[in-house]
Amino acid sequence: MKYVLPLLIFFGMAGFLLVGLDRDPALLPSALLDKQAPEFTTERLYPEHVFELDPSNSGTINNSVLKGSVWVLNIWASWCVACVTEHPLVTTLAEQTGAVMVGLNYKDQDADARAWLARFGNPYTAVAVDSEGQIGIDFGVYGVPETFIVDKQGVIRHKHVGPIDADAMNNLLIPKIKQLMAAPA
Amino acid sequence: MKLIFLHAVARGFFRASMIGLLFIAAAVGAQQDSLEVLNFASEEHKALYYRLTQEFRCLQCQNQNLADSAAGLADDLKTQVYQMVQQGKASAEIKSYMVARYGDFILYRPAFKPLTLLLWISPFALLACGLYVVYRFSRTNKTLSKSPATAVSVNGSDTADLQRARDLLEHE
Repeated sequence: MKYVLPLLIFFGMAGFLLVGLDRDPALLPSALLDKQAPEFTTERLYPEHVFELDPSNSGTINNSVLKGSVWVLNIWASWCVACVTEHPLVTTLAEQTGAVMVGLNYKDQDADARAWLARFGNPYTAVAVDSEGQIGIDFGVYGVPETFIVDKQGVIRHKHVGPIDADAMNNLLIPKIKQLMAAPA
Repeated sequence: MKLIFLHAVARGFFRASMIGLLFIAAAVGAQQDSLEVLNFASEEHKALYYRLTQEFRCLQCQNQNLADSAAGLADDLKTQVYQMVQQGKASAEIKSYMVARYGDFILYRPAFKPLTLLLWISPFALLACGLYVVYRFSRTNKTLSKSPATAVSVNGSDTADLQRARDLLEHE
């Protein structure tokens, strides 16, 4: 037994280390998972566009009007290089799922943000402006880009940190959104 | 020849001074955020602010606390802490505000609760295991070192093994 025990300890440690090889230690799990999405009210980037979920509203967005729909919060900025990479995938996500896409323009300038969307395309149902980053703090944002999936009851069900890649989109995000859309309101 | 040499030296000096200026500019640029002066309502508020910003981790530069970090997120969070301190909020409330949004990882000293129990206990547990192994190892050593003594004669009279050894040697 005294010879087996160190061997078992070794295999135990090796097992942990092997699993750890694939993981990024800098990634934080969301503290808001399975909790209500924090409520925010802020300006929209395009107040002249009618926000279909709140047509009477002039130029702001409050996320409580989103209850009843599955929505995706995508945090982006015109100064964020990785956002350029993920943007085509965000567009694909919007097209393939039909979920309400809310862009959160994080710590940016309106003019720069509009120019960026004009250049790369605007897949968002509405773009909320978070110029000070306060909404970001409420959502536990610590880097750009990040993406949240919120269900019909307003509960955060998934958080993706960093740019969306095709693998995550096809295997995690799209199935999750479709699953939530099939659930009752 | 001399002219070419002088030219090279002059170029070298020029490059060195440019690099020097670059460092100075970077140092000045980096200091701009930390030179901001904050006004506090009282000494306790000030002490609380500095204590909290040293206990919160910067989530962008995860090896630094908020006080040391110059990251954008660190500045935002420091402003948030400052505002909450000015509003008279207590340390526990500010900590729970941050933990609710960012999780336990934002605290450099995680709360002592079931989830973090393993984190707190494991160094001491491993030390205890190590000490136990050392203890067992030293006991094995002691029992091994006792065995040669059984071959030597005790109380002056020869043991059976020793007698046999003598017989063999004498009958050589």
